[in-house]
Amino acid sequence: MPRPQNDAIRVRIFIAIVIVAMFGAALHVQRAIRRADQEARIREAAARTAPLRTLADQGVPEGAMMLFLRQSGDPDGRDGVLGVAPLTDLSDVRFEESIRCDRVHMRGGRGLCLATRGRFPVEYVALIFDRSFSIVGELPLAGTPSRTQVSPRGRYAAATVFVTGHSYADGSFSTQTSIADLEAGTWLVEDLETFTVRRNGRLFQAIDFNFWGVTFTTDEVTFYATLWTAGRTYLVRGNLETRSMDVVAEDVECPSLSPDGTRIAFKQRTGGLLGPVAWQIGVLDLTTGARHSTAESRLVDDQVQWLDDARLLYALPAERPAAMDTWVVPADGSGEPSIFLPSSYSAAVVHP
Amino acid sequence: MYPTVRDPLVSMPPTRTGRWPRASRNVLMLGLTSLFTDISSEMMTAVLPLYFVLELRMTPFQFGVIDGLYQGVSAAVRVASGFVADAGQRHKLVASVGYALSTACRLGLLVAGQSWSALTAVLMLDRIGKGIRTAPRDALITLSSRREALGEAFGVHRALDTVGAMIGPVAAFAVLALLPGAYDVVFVVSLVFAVIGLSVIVLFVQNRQEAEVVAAGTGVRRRFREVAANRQLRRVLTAGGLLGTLTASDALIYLLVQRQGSVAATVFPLLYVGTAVVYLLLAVPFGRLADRVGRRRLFVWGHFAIVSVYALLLWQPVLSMAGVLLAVGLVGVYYAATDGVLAALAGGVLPAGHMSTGQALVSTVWAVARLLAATMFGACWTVWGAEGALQLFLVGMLASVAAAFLVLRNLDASPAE
Repeated sequence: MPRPQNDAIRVRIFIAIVIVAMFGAALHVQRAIRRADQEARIREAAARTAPLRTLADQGVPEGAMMLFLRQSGDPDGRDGVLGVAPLTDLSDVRFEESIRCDRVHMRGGRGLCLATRGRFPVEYVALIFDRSFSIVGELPLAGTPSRTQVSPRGRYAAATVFVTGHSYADGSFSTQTSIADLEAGTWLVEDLETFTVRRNGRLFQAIDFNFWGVTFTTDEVTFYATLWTAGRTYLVRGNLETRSMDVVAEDVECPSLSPDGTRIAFKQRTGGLLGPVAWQIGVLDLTTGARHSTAESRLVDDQVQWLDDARLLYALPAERPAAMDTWVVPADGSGEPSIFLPSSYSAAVVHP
Repeated sequence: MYPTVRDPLVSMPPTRTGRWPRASRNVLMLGLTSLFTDISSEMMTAVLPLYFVLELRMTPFQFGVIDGLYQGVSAAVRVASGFVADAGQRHKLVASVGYALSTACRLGLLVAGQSWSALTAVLMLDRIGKGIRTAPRDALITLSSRREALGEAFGVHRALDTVGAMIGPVAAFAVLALLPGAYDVVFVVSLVFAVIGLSVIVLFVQNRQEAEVVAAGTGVRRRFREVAANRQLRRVLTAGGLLGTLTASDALIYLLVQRQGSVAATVFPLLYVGTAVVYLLLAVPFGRLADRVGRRRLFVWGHFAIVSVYALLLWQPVLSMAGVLLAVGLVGVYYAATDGVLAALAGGVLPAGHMSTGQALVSTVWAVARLLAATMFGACWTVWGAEGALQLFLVGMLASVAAAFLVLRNLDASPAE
């Protein structure tokens, strides 16, 4: 047993440590507050001195247009804002500052914007918008937005989010993919995991099923998606009416169906087990099953979009910090990649 | 209540009368160490996924790989640290090293920046720190408590530990609410709590040594044989392993509860809170109950809570709100009746001089069994579907409970056992 005065000394040392630690933390907090204030001033100044060209002033472009999210890396706090530009003149961009997303897609006159709202508590929502870019509906999301894709005539949209576990042991991520009925403004399918899956005609089930990266065919109810289980990815073809899916190929991730419906652009995994996961773009011919790579050799983590039947669009981090550019590369493996639209991501073509 | 057998424990804290607090100062201080450390580590756990994905723009699968890497590390380190702690009877020193390592990792996270390999290394070291400290800490709780009140001592420790685990996420999100995107501030506050936790163990926890100490320098193999040869410990390990392999992980149970109860994924984290609250409230009363009716009994009985969860999920394919709450509460009851109680049960029968190693073995066997259960449940799900897996685990658990009763029947010790 220690002597009482020894105890008193220990208490004093403890109090000293607590005070020093708290003081250090307080200094750091003060710096963080000052930094936040400074950033807010920069944002306000930028919004005043360099206003964005708006959709309200310029109007929605006629004809085909590019839809994208701004990612300039500028400290003006306006990244994530929805932008459009006529396909004939990509420099003529217009922004809708009231729509700010992590991921967006639009087809057939309807769009879905997956957004993160507020910082505490963080709230994730899917916003439905119409032809004139006014928000007409809102659905809650279960986690951080990852992918979204609208069906060709704008009836349905798929949304994939990442759902986190809670404790250390369960800290790994899983995905949840839902299908929204954009006409009704409700979820048609809250979780794709409730669908029946068959592989080679037999029931395929496992506890660790994860789905993501949905892409719709022109009949609106057939779709392709990625299924992940036991460390492998599968390409499944599903049907919203029969609520079932069939495995059609292996090692295909984040599919994107070509406008003519004959090919699927996808991500193929190249990273090892221990290093960071990495992907490159591949193209799968649905009739022959043949696959080939594209001229893009860099690592792409995106759901590739088709500019037309011959060219692919995808986003890559730019040299400028926190900025991203949209690139274009021929789908047949020829040519060279080039920048299509700078300071943007989640870009997609919208036909009138 | 009073043991008639010779008590092997030395440096017994003075007996206190009255109902509260019965735990010794050492146990309270170890509980406070765990409380502050858990605030610190749960702050990290709560924000790391957001930090990695939103700020570092890592894909969640990259995060998943990082997460999976440190699962296996902890178990291996645990047994090794138990050996070292027992060898010189330096339980406090070894536990403190574990806490210090995790504290250093908070600093590491601040300087690791965005490097994938640096972040992986930091998180790995944090798990190693946890692996190092667990067994000697449980050994210290055992050695600091009256043998007939071991269940209560572990109950007090686990309750404080759970309080920390509940404060952590709230503290982290409060920081992010006040300072949006200021992850570095979360790391700094987490560091402060880790430093406080470390200071409590270093300054206020006293090391305890056993009377019969294994001679220093005894070979690792011989010492391992000595522990392994202990019949009582083997019984505890067998029973724990049997029951553990049929206990589906919390994640699996919550997944089923979420599906059958149509719990929105946005309120999913509240299921964990519900379990933690029940565990927190019952840890001390159940510890006392264990001391009274026998720790082996309560440990085995506790598994009926899991049997009830399986039965509930099987017979109520669509869970009402009450069903969801019941399932979540039963998981809390299960933890209150088993987690601290198993450590107390082990503490009461461990051979002298092997306290840390013994605790390490018990918790490792337990962890491996639970991991095996999760894998088996997943495999059964693939073959027979969720219902088939539940049926199999329900029947298996009932058989295991019966077997565990038999295995632990002759566990001779003080009347409290």
